[in-house]
Amino acid sequence: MKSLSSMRVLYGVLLGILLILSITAPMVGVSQKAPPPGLPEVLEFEMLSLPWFPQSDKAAEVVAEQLSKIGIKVNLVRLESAVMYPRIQRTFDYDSFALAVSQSPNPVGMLIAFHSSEARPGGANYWGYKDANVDNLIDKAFEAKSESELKEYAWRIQELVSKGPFIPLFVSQNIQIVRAEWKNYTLMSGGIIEVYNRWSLLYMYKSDKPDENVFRIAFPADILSTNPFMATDLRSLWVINILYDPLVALDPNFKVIPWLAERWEVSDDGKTYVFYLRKDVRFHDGEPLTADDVVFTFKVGIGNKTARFAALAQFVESVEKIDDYTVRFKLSKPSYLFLLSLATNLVYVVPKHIWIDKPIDWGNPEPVGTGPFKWVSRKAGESIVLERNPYYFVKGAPRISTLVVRVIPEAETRFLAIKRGEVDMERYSALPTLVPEAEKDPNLKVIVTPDIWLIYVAFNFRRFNDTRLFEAINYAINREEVIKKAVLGYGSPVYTILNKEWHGDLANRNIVFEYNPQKAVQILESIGYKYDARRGVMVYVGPPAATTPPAEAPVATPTITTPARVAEAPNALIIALIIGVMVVAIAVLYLLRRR
Amino acid sequence: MSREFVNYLVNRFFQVILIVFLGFIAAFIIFRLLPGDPTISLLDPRVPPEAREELIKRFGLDKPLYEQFLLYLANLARGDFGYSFVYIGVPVTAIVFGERLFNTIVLMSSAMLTSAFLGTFLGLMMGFRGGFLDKLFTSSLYLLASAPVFWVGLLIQFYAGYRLNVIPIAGTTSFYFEKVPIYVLALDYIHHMIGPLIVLTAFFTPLYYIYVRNVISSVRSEDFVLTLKALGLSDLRILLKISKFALIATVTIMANESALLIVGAVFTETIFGWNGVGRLLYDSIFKADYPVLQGIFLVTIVVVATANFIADILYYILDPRIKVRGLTRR
Repeated sequence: MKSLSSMRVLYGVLLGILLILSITAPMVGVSQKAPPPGLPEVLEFEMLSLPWFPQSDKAAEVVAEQLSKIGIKVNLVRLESAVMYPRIQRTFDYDSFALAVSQSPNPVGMLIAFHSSEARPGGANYWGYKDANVDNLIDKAFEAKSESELKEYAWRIQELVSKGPFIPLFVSQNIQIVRAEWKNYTLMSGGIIEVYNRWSLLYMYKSDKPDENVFRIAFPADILSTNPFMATDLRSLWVINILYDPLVALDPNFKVIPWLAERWEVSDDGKTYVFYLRKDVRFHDGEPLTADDVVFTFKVGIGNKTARFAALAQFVESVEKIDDYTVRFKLSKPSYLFLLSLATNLVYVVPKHIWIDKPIDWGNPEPVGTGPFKWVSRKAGESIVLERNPYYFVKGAPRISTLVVRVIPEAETRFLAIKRGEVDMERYSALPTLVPEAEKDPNLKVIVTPDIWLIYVAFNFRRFNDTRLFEAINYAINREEVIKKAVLGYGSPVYTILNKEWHGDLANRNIVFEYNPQKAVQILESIGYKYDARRGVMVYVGPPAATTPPAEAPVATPTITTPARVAEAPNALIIALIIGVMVVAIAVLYLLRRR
Repeated sequence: MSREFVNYLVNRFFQVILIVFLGFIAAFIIFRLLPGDPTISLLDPRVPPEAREELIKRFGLDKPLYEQFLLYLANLARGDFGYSFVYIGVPVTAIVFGERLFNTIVLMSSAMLTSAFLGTFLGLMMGFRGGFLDKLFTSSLYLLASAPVFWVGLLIQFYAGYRLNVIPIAGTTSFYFEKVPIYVLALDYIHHMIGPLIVLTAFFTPLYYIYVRNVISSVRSEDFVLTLKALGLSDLRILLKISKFALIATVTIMANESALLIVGAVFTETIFGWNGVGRLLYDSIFKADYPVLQGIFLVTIVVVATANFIADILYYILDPRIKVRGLTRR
């Protein structure tokens, strides 16, 4: 017993020494310095991620792994949206996060997110990016009168913003697995049936007998709303999109074309738009569509700051009726983006005679619109049935006679249901892992188009505002590998906030960050970071002495250029030795005790 | 009915009411502790900030907490559970009650009754009999109990649904717009229920089996059983006599599992696309739809409290010892 207790004392002493060493060890590592404001002491970031959105979550994993290779440590923190969103939108309590943002042919949504006025809680500029030049350019872009003028501003904005805290990774691809008997669909960015694509559902058919064209589509979850003012999710909007019509629509090349308005006139100062409505449009209940409905819709929608219409408020000053089929929009400033916004903001004309006495967030249980399909029934959480509107103003369309939306939550189940012919296709992209199986089946067709999601990581500009840091991170990310690992190659790399898949020529294709980890390290070292081998992370040691890059002049004066590394090596060695001896000593003592 | 029994019932009843009320208050507190904001559920928050603030105001989330609490109680008294954060303009009662609750209760009650019957019966037989068959059943049911529900579900879906093509892949019906007679609809409904029912039965049966088997195999060696044997009673008679013990076990488990009557089939309903409360719960958690979650929570409180109340009555009838304890505990 006695010998044992003396052993215990020894253990205690040894452990105590170990403890003290572990506490003091960091102090004798690389000679760390306090960095200037806006730079972290250690390149170690927390990255928030949503586990239920696998594309961005897996991308975050790959990015973390890639950054760790050059000594930037990224700790992935997986949070539920209810916890994560308030942190990135309101309290700004984060280092970085990975997420996806939906793309539309309209650049406004992406551009506005870099305006400093949106950096407030609840604004679109989550990353808190602030640059007076960019603000100025965005304001000008919104007032651009032509596409070429807009493009000029957009390209300059992208040049500046690509050095910012928002690091786009890739636009994923939409994989549609469709029953092979369906033909005559239209390919567009977003997929054959995305909301910006009004064409496929008008002209798709599988049989020459009209009644046999029953189209069944599987949704992963129920729609949330049939209210055209308030709906925000793309499932609800998909249904609303075919029940209602917009004033103007998009052709397959994302150019604005007449829809409910058969033509329009713009005044010379660009501030007045006069829309001439089609005269052959009727709501599903038989009432004709008139200027009253259009004026009512826009007044109520914009006046109540509803989700769908609020963004138009920056353009529209007033809407008034000229006669039964003519409407005048007065803008506060001339803008090329107004018409595009009208087409891409998913704003639909509702019947005044139904909505006049309803609250703006009315549940709208049996929607009445002008669209190609009309409402039949819905079982909440299970199915929605629509049928073709025989009086639709596009002649000979739609060819689908009955459209059934079914809710099937599991991706694998949806695939089995398509394979077995219970449904014809699904709303969103299928899992890339299912593609080989689908390609083997002669009853199925696989259609790949660019998807609506831009996957990105963003850093908190409120905490870190040295753009060289983000430049280095841009070079340290291998986007091809991210795409390969996160979405099995179904994506295309993106280097700036606008992309060719969605914004065409507005995307500045000159901006490319080729994967170049050496360059990333060089940039970080020029800021003043140095790799601390013991901690496996880069720490701030102050910028290299003098303004000449140290790597260029290694022969001149070795005493000045590498003092930190000289001091670092013996420290680490000594500590490693001491710890090793301790461990061996404890092991020996433990063995002795056992006997 | 004895006077004592009536007293007991009245007492328990008031306890139940009190517990339900406390549960309602707890529900309020829990859901206010969470970040309550109807705009957080959007993956792609492309909603203009003005629209967000408008939305928060609409839900009264900018009001002081005590005011919210009074509103909550007043609304509950009127049977109003509030409006969903994500299903715009739709009251919670319309989402939770109705078809979803019906589907879940039909599915879960048939699964629970089937597995209670199966589990109790098997447990009774094996516990009484012992031997090789007992070992075989016990070990294989333990295996079944530890198999993940979603895995069993996917297996059944793939083999029975896709390969053999004998059950539908998903949903509760195959008729969405066709006009068919009611009995066809009912048969179709049952046809769709087979898959989830098998999965749930596979999940619940071992619970009953293991519990009942253990109770019976320990009762089997008690003195009074030996006495009965010595008196020359047949095995069947003895089994019938001690089956009362098994019933107590079954009632206990059923009362304990009663919460699952509402929310128990989360995975099963999700895999088979069964339109029930379990799947609603799953969706609502992802979308942070607190009013709906709160609604499900409240319904669950009522169901659990009621189930335990019924279980207490059954105990009273089945086992006099529990009756005495129940009375003297006060």
